[in-house]
Amino acid sequence: MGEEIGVPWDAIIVGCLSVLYALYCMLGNLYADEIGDVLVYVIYAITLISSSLFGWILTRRLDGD
Amino acid sequence: MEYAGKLIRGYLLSYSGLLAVSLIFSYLANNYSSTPFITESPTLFHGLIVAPSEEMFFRYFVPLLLMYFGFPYLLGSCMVAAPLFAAAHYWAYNNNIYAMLSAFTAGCWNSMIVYKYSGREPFNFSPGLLCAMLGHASYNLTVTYMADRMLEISVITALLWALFEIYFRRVEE
Repeated sequence: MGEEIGVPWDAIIVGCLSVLYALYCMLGNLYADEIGDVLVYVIYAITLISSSLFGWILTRRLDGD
Repeated sequence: MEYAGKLIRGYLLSYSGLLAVSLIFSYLANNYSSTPFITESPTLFHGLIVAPSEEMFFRYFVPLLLMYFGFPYLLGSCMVAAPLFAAAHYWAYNNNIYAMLSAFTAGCWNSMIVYKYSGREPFNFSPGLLCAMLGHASYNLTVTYMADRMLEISVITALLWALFEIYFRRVEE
């Protein structure tokens, strides 16, 4: 892959906002004792955060930093 | 202006395309009747975390990992990430083959959206990835709350995309 790679900060910021939304929903689910839905939120939030973080690390490595 | 133009066009094209893909496979699944998929998965209600998370993983991280090993973005995204995305939907929707095919096609569609509407030099996934996220989130919410309006919404958003495409091409010229 010859071209330079950048980091999609706009998508990452929106992703962080959606994680905040998920935390808000999780609180409601915990209050209503809906543990299954809480696990769904946790899995997706972890997926989003880890994809963003590892994507950033990979981009740094691709750019030779 | 260039960023806004790409964001609007990419979002509209992603949204209308995802609705169209779902409608096509719903027709195929239901022997050409007009009823779209209506699944009862609770994850659809979490549209505002499911869509960004799936797009970040399947349209950003997995293709980027393959790019690290020398694969072009579209090849990695359509040949590896999209089948993984489809497999996840096959499992999530009770081994439904049409849901799997719909997810594979939708994954390829959003991959093309990301590639087409992202900046070059550097290829920064921006705003293409955000377009895919917003389109996917809108699709999830539409299927959950307005499934009977999918065809109309798909046509209207496709027409809006065409209008914005014409407008922004003229502005760029």
